[in-house]
Amino acid sequence: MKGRLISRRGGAFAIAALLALTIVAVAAAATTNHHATATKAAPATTTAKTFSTLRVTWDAPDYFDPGLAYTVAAWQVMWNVYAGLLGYKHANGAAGATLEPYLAKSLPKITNGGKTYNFVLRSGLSYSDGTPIKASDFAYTIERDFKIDSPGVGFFGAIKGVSGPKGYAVTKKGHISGIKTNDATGAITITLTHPEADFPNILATLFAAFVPPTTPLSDQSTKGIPSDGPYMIQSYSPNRSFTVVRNPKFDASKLPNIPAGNPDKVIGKIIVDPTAAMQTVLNGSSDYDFQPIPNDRLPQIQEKYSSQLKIYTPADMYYFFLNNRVAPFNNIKARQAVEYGINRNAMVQFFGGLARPTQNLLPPNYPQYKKISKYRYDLAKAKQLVQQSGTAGQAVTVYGVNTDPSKSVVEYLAGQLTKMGYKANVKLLAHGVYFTTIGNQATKAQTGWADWYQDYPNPIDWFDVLFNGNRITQTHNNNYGNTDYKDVNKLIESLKATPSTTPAQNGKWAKVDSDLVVKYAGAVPYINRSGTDFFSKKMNQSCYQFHVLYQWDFATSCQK
Amino acid sequence: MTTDTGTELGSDSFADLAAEAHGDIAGRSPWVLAWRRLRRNWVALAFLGLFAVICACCALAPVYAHHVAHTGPNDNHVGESLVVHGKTIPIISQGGIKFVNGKTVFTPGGIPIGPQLWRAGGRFVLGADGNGRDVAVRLLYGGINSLKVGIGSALICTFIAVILSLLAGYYGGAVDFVISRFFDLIWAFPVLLLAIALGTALSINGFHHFGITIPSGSLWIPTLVISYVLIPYVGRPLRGQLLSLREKEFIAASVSQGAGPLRVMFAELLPNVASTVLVFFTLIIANDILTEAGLSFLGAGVQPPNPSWGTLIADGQDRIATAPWLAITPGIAIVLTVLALNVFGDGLRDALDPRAKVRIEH
Amino acid sequence: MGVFVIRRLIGMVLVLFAVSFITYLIFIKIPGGDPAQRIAGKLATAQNIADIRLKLGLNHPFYVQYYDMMKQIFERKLVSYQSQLNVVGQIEEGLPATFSLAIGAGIIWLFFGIVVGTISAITAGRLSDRLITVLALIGISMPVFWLGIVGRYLLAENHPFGFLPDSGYVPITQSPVQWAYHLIMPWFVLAVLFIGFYGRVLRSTVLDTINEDYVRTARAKGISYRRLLVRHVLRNSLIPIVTLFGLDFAAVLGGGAILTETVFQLQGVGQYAAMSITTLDLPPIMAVTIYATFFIVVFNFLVDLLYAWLDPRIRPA
Repeated sequence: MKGRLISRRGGAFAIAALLALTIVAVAAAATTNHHATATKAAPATTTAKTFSTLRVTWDAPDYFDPGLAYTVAAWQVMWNVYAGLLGYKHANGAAGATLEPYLAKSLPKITNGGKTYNFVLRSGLSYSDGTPIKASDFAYTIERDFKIDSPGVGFFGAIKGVSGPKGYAVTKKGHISGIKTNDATGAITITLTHPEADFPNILATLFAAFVPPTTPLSDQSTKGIPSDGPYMIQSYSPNRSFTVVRNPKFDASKLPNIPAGNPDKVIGKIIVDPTAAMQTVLNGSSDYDFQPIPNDRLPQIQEKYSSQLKIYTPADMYYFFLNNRVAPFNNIKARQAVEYGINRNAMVQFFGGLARPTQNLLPPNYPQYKKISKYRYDLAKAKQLVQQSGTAGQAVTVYGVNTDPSKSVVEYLAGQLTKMGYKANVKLLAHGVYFTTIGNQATKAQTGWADWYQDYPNPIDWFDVLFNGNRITQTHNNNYGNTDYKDVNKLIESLKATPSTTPAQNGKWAKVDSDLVVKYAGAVPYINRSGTDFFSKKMNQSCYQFHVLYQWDFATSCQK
Repeated sequence: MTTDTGTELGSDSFADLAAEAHGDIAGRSPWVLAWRRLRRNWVALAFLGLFAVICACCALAPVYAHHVAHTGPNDNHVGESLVVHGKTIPIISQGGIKFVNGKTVFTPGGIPIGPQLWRAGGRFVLGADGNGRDVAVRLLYGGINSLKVGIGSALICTFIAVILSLLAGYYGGAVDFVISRFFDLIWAFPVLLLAIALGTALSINGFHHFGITIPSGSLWIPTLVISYVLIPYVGRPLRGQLLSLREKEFIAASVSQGAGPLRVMFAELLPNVASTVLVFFTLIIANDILTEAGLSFLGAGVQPPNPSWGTLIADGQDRIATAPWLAITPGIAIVLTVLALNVFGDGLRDALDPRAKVRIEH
Repeated sequence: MGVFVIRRLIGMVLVLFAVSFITYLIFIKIPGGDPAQRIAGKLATAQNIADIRLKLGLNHPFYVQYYDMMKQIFERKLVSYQSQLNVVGQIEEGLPATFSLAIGAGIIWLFFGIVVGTISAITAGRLSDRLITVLALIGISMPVFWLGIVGRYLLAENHPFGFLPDSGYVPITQSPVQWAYHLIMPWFVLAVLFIGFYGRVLRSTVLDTINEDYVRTARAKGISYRRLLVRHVLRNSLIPIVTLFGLDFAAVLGGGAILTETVFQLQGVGQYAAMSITTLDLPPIMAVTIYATFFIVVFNFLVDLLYAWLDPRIRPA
């Protein structure tokens, strides 16, 4: 009808239109929600490999807060959830150790003799709740780590303004002077007090993963922190379960080095008992078992389900420390006796066969590894060396953890020491107190169980932390054997400063390894341990990707 | 365990005894009568014999280790082999990881050799454990430790409980109040929790107080811990019995004759509860062996590498699928020993008090 | 009576306080057990550890720390040193498993204990009595954790004849059938010990009662056998059983079935307690001790009341 605009029919039409508009507006508002719990998943890269749900059985993580987490169980989930300036390549094997720019536009420009790192943040990025990611968030993240007493603060000690009696680590007031950011340009400049070759690796740890500046200064594991990676943690019930879903704000085109991921959703059940965890895969309620298969069941699983079992070797090393400051192992002949007196090939059996013997401190997956083959198992020679050292008959207490495999291994060493001519006995402690006990000089622990899993793929994380004489402390000491050899210390310090991995440099690290084990017999490495990934029949093994640091990558997994 | 001539609803063993002895029980001391009754209970005596045999076998552990098994309880044989009927078998199966053509090939290993019985000439009769140690040797040496802790703690516990309840029973009043509260306090703790707590805390660095030093690996620690937590178990019923005895006339008579406290306690009160104490003692040994096994199983009792039946079960628990004999054999040893003590203790109680008035009560 | 109740209540509170304080003292001086170092991790700086010590109040004298810890338990704020999880929350999560175990096993052992004890007493001296006695004695001679291990080995899924689940607890809200299925073995393993014991206790009290004069009088008066058994004999013989059951049930509810829960991985309060002790984690140790002692003293009190009511000769002193 022409004429009047608002007629009865027209009025109704107008109301309907208004209603429709309101609905559309509300819907639009709903999809840009502010909470970490998304109601809609972002459109994933629809390749043939994506699938809807991945069910996993997991170990209990310590935290799901990137500022606090320090266990593989946490990191293996979180490296697909939180991202920092740099990160690792999602690739199999040694290629996974390559550092790539994640949130940064490119690898840093390092100037000023290795003391200044210049980054530029990619633009147009946002967290899962829509907040834009800014350069100043980096400063907030690092400062937050100090304020919440993160176990990772030790990594950032080289940044200017952190250390010292008036440094940020003590005062926690103001800002860290060594971090300068510019939100307008996206520039981030980090100044160190001295060059550190592993600083890029440190920037790739989850402690340096960006969190929004509104993140509270306490553990947010159960409350959730908006994520900047391809996934986000939707819920976490400690010791029970967790759920990981896609981050709706993740833009795969803007972050080419981080895969968008195949599973739309990951449902995690936390089961600490390895036997029960294994059962969840056997009875079909889970697609993946994080826990190692108990040694007792390995033969059965290997026999019946070998196509679902993957053996992996992370970068780890199991060794006996020999306290260089306390008798009898302050005597080099006594130390050499131990190197000859253990049967490394036989010791593999304490781990159910899931290990390989080694005489190196560095694991074989490192480019700096050069195999040491000096010590053949020779009990007679060991006895002879003990006699020559003049320490025969002394009492030796071997420290260990009161659970297997530590219990069996430590009892074995005590038995061998007795055969060699000592009066050896064993002292087993609970895991929670073990490392603080042997890390305390007052304990005067002569020898005992130790192991190390890399924090990041760099030999500095091994030799500097565990065997540098300059880093021996009175308590919470990591150099349990108090190895303090001037030439080795000097070599380590010089290698720490130069961030390049030329063959010459690799050779120098190999020399550190060899000096410690062969020249000085400072410690007794014996195996590199392997682990098991156990999958259900649904999982397609051809997509299996194992990362050197973060182990099995759930993002790149696929189903049949 | 009396004859079958009992009535529908009961039996009267006094009558039976009198009938059998042709009235010859009059005038005999209760101990002689008890002994007679016990003598006729061949089941109880047989089990006492079993207990004695078990103790003897364990005492002969060094002989067995030296002459039959040719190895000690803590000697590992990792990496060695055994020749059985001409075949060489590794004592612990050898597995490992190899890289073949870029693929990871894994062979499971670490499975110890099973019971050989007499095939290997006395070595590894009951097989080997995860560290290549001879299970039969460890079983016997473990028995020594378990029995030492069990009997030792029973002795200490009974001794202290008797002294305390005698004091409480004789003096009554404030003394009784304090001792009763002491019993109550220990008893208020969840027994096993307290034992585990004390055992764990003390086994870390030993006991260094009040001038006494006990190193952390010593057997005294589990012994003292177990005796301590079970003092009220014996002490409370004993105290109850003594309190009622106190009212009887013979005590008043003795006191009026000028008997001092020590005389009344040891000459009058104690003999009247002696049969209760004796039965308790036997049954407490059984209880203590079980408690020690539980504590050691949780790591709060006998400390590795010293064997005890409890630690052996703990060692074997993780290998139950591939080496079941490790966990099963020490359990059987415990069952036989504790059963023997229980059956004998039952028989002892029947002999000492056929009306079965002696009861273990909480 | 009212005075008695009030005195006992005060006594209960005092006992709880004393037990918790003693537990605290046992663990306060463990070398190497500095909680700040444990929480700070391997690569912590000295500053880090000092900060954590400050935050946890570890520099205060031990009685202040004790008071703080107790306050935090009742405020549900206490956090474990080992896992940074809320301690009271962990206990609450373990409650369903522990309660399920206790109630189920309790019903089984009470029922079978009474049946076994009565048969044994009525047929005293005959074959059935001897057989039951032997079985009961074997039952109480077995270490409960060993029975659990052997049971799992023989009857659980991995064995050729296995038909029961291997371990673990399924909440009743998830599946009642699976819940019962997973609990059958733990129930019976835990009950075996008590059935044997209760059977023997009942046997001796029944035999005792049978020989009492009033029973003979009643029989002489012509009361039927069955009525005599149930009305007079059992009723009096059950008194010690009731008191025993009250205390044993309280112990299991309070997490005392540590060994059974651990062997079957039920993740109940008892297992949590054992794990906390062996890892020297003081906050959960304190909380569990209070929880367990609470049940013991409360049931102790209830049992005394019940005993007094059942047996008029015993009156609260």
